[in-house]
Amino acid sequence: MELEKFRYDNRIVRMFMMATVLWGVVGFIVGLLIALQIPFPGLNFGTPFTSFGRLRPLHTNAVIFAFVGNAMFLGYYYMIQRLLKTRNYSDLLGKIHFWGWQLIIVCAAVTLVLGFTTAKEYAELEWPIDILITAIWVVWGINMIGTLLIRREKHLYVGIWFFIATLVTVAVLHITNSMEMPAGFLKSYSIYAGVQDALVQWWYGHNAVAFFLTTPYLGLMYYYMPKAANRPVYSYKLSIIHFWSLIFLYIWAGPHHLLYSATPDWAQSLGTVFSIMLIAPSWGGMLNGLLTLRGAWDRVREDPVLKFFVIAVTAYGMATFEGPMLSIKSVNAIAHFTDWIIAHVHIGALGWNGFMAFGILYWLVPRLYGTQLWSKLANWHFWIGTLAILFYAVPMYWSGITQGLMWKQFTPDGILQYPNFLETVLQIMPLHKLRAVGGALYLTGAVMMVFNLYRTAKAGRFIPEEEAEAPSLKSQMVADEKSYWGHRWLESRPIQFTVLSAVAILIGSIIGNVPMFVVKSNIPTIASVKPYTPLELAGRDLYQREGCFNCHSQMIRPFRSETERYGEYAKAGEYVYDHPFLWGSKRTGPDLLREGGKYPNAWHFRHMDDPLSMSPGSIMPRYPWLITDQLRASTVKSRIGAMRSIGVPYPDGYEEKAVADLKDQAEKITVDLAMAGIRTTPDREIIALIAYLQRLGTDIKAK
Amino acid sequence: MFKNLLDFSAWNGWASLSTVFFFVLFTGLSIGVFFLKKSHTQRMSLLPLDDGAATAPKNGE
Repeated sequence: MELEKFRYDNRIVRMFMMATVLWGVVGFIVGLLIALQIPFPGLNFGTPFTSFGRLRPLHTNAVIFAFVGNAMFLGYYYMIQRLLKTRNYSDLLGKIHFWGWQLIIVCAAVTLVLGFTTAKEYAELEWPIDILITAIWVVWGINMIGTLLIRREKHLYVGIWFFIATLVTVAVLHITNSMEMPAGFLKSYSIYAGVQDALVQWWYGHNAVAFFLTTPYLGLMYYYMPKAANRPVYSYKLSIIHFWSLIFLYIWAGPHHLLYSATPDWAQSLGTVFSIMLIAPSWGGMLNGLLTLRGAWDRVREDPVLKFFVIAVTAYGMATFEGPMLSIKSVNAIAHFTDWIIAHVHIGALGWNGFMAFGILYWLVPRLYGTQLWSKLANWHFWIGTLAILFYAVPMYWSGITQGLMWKQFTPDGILQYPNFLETVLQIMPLHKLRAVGGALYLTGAVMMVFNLYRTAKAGRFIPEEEAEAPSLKSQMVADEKSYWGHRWLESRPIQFTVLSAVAILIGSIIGNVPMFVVKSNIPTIASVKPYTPLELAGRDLYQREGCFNCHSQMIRPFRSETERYGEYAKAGEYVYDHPFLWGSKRTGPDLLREGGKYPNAWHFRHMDDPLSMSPGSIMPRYPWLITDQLRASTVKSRIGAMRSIGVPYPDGYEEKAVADLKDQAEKITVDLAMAGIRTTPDREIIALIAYLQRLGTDIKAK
Repeated sequence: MFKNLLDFSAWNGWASLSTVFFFVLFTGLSIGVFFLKKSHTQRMSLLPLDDGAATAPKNGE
């Protein structure tokens, strides 16, 4: 067969490499800062832009979409060209993809710090950025499909299948979960409410982990581990079963984030069953990765790249064992809302994603620059990074189990042993300090890597393009005329493969979500639950802006320990006007579902101004700007209109009356505050927030 | 029967059907994979090690 000559493009790989390193360091620094803010609240610096509630989503977005995302594209652009023996379909589309992705990250960083958020975890970005994400994803998709179609390798290797699944599934997840009604340029409300919103969000949230943090990295594992070990993958047959089982099962598991919540039992059970089944393909993949090193383990002693890969795949195995375990209801009852979950996700993020990315960078940069790695500092990075993961995870597991048990502890007389939530917070502060040591070590390792890679690049010379040669696809087709069936056939049909992947993920998506929307009995309505008043709605928007849901849940589970502490357990019908739902996933502070009427208005005013004045020892940051900043009442009209258009039953024309109602209610709260000796005006933001907090849970509260 | 199948309130049926569907698919896939030609799986396994590059440094260099 005649060979065709062509060139691989390394420029796009280098661009994503630089972005990976830059955003990685940024994400780690922000992570360390917020880790320190918990034991040292003074590090919130008393400004809105540096408070925990706004920085926490900045950290998660920076790490997930900026660091892990850029590393995924870095690995992809190098890998796909070589596996398909072709250049990327379009250099221009690659550049648009790169710059568009960086623009999204910058927009995310700016808007999140400014308080523009949808309040949906890992999907916090507002609607204009959501549209931009969609557009850039399509650009990547066109470039990928185009590259598949101009390939010179007949069969698609397993690494590419995982990227096909990523492309299709993330598109479906992002578009479905980002359905929102704009109420201004950077303000929107989820079109789903309450329980429905929660189910869609955690179908998205869980599968963002699955199809953004897992499947593309499995694709990278299947390429870079054989490359680094210079050995073929252990079992190609196992990889086929791994791929199809994983993508089919993963998509169902989302509701395990909602165990014991107001979500219907059937959805919870579905989440549990499929999560437990998921351990099989996950471990199949892990073993396939580790066994690829058979016969090469002696090299692991010497080669830092392989060391990083071994810990990464081991961390993947640990996290994917723990995930199904946490989906068992009795385990979840203790672990949910605690630091245990933080430990779990960081085993995945620091170990699996971080170490895979580091290993790929150490393998790739010397090749991009035609030189050797500058220093064995990479070995130091490996050991410091491994120690960092231990320093991070062990204290967080300890902290999580401590929290879970203290929350549930009763005295022999049958009353809560630790009725003051603050006691359980202060107990774990030493563990949070230790966790910050872990974060600092991880950052130190990353800085060492940056230096090492920089010196490596300086020592070599960048190779922008690489000469390559391969027979054309057509000549391979002629030479290989035999007809195939089954998977071999599918591997040579990229379009059919993509369609079948889409079918595999759509089955679980549809069956897991649609009944919640079409079966009314899933959400029994409660007659006494009414829409928020304009002032309460404005307060709820502020609650979202400040990221209160990052530390406070609004979901009382049906346990005696919770109903004793917080009040009546949560009902699905209470949330029907909650666009978006604000159940939260972590209790750094207490649950607020029944906060309404628990304290006087003056308590809330003083608490937001200085939490220590009301709760000595509290680690909650101060919010002095809420006291001084003016509420933008003019936006209420558009917000009421947006809410009505997604089903909240405000009367027609209520927008015109809404501002007057808002002012009336604000005036009453101001008068009440004045009676407690607090002088303020009705047009301050704090008044709206107090109105919202005092409303929480009162619709069905026993008088 | 068809009415029940199309009735979303009978979600149990849909979920069970999906689980059965998965196991049937999984079994079929396993059988198909078992009979895959060794020459094909060997060639596919080696794909990452052959990137066709004429100028790239060799692994381990």
